[in-house]
Amino acid sequence: MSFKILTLAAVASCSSGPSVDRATIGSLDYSVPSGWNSRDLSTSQRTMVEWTPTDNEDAKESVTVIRTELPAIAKAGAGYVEALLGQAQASLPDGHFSAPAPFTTTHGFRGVRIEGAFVPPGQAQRYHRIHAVVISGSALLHVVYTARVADRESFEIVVDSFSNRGA
Amino acid sequence: MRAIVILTCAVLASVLIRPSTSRSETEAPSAPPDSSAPVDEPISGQAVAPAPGDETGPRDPFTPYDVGGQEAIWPYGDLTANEKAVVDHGRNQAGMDAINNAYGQAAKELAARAKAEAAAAQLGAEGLDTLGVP
Repeated sequence: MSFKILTLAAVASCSSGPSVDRATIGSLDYSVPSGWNSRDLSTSQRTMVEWTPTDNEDAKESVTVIRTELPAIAKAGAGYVEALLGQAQASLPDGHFSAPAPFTTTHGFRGVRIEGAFVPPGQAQRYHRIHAVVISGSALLHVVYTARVADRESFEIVVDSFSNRGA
Repeated sequence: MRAIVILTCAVLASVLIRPSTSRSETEAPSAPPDSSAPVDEPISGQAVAPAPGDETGPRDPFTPYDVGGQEAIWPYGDLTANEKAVVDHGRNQAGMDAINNAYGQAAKELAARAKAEAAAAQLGAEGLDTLGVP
């Protein structure tokens, strides 16, 4: 298993922010909403873990974190990633997405995010989707938030929390 | 008996060595055969080559085939009512634009989808449509 939950107990109980757990992917630590469950979906090409809340009957919410080693794309920079991220959303059925927007995380990682909605195959209802790609050295980190009833905070907790391990 | 065996070995050795020595890299390559020289190989019939200017190129696939003389042509007016109905049905192009446009639109959508999936694959995020959908 290439990822590891560092701290299962909530670590933000003494702060003003939401309660979170810490996890690791590659050489980075990141936060997830407290009490969410993880499922390792890694393949030989990428490390992937899906996080879902315990009670997920109505919201159908998930945050998928993916790490792929792609030196050429990472070196090409945020502009290139931005173009690819915008193009990639066209594969989503009945999808309507905003233009991709660059951002920088609290710990200085550059990334691109895009937001919209689509109807997954075999589903009748629209799902909200926020997809962020963060560049970390020679790797790309995807944070893919999917939900029928969106709670933006769950996505923001993850995407803005990446930090080098031990930092 | 021993002399026969030695003689046989000598003959075999000379046969095996001959090709390798004839193709030695130290020797200059032999002159290529003259392709303009007449070939003596017998053929059936008589060889025919078109005279300069008489060559026929590939046929235009959109040109109708020649059906022959006037007597071979069936004028539309000579057809029976049932035959005219078949011809009219074949010549009827009403609605074809809509069908062609639908195929064109489907091809465009397929191309756009392929481009999008290629972009997702470049980012290492294949299967975006099912990713994270509970």
